Amino acid sequence: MASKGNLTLKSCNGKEFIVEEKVAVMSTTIKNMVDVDDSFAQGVIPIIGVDGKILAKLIEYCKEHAEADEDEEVKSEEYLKKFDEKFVDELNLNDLYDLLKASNYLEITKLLNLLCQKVASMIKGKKPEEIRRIFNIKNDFTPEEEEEINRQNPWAF
Amino acid sequence: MTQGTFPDLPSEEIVIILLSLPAESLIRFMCLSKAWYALISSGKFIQKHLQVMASRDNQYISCGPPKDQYYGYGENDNEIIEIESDEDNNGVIKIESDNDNNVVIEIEVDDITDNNNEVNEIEVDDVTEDNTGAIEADDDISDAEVKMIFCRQINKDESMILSFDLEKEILQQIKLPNYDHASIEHVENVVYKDTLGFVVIHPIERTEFYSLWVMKEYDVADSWSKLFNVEIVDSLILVEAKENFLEQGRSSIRFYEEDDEALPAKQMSIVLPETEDASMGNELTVKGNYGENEFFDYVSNELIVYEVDVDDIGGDKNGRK
Repeated sequence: MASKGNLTLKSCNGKEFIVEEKVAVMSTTIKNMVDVDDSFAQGVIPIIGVDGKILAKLIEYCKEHAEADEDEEVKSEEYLKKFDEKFVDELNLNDLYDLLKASNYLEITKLLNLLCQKVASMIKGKKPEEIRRIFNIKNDFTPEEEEEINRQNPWAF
Repeated sequence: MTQGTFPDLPSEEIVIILLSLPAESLIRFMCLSKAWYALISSGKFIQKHLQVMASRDNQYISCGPPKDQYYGYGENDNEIIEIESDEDNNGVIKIESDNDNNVVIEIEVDDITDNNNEVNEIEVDDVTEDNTGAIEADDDISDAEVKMIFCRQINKDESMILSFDLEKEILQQIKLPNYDHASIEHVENVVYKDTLGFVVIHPIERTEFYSLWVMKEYDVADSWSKLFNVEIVDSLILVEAKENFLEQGRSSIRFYEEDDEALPAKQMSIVLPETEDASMGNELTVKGNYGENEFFDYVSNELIVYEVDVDDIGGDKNGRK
């Protein structure tokens, strides 16, 4: 593995971020790149499809968590929990959506789970029609079929 | 916040989101589209979902089929109960009242977090007088995979079960499904696919009729659902001639899904095996499969349904959850 130096990450709109390696390798995708090929550790790592704003957010998240992993006393579990809550609460829906895709692509599992739970808590009480609108799902059931499915589990409605 | 849309979220991420939803929401979202219906109702998804739920919060009991293992019981109030955990255990805990209304606790702890076989203790307060009494579990148990324990109270309101939440250390009552209590001969606690469930036995003349109920979401009484009916056909063997069962030879079990009686493909009937092992006495042991990768054991009066990975088929017990 490369030295514990800094890595340069470049967003799709050309913004460069210099981050500590321990922060960057919170992303399994980046970790794999660095592990396989040392030249990445020296050069610039392009983060395809992620713009500067989202990349900054990702780095903010990874930085807190990487530091917490290293020193539990300074950043306790409770501190992290509060950080996570604040982090997702401040996101607007577009950012949430972009971050979801980016954290999946970069395999930042913790963040992906956090975001998925946020979306889950947003949609869990919603009616089917609202969910269809949010995810742009086309209802391909006939009214009879839909009725039949709903009839099987009346307790959920 | 709720005004926006996620127009083209990759299905991979949708799956992760759905896995963190409570069962109630998932059921409601089954009608969204055929693709969502297929996803949510698939066995793989359900299994994964239960794993997620079991690893989180305290919504589900994390355990396998109950076994007859008694580690201790409280005969009086405030009695200390000793509980052993050993490697064969798989996270089942039951509390039951005996006939004198004392609480009996059976416990099997699946302590995945560390493999020590320490004796765990549970102190039983006066839970018989009112159901709000507390049981103090020590840390060893709280840290284990088991999150709650449950029992059905004999001599009490038969429509309720008592559950003890190991994390919050509170006792609570959970309503049983609304079946016809008068016609029931016996109710057995079971765990079906990581979910709290009951096998309800209705004796009908010479037939024993079982139905399996599960609570799809822990502590939501309305989520009780009847999953299967099991019928012991031709059961004079069991009812009238228990001792002579082995000589009587064959019987059969019919096993079918509720609401699915019209579909013969979903129904299975197996012939009970003949055995020459006289030491088995009147105990009846049957193994069989139902569907592609669901298996069941029928041991004495207990039916255990479990699911195995397709790769494990033929491997017998290894696949048991």
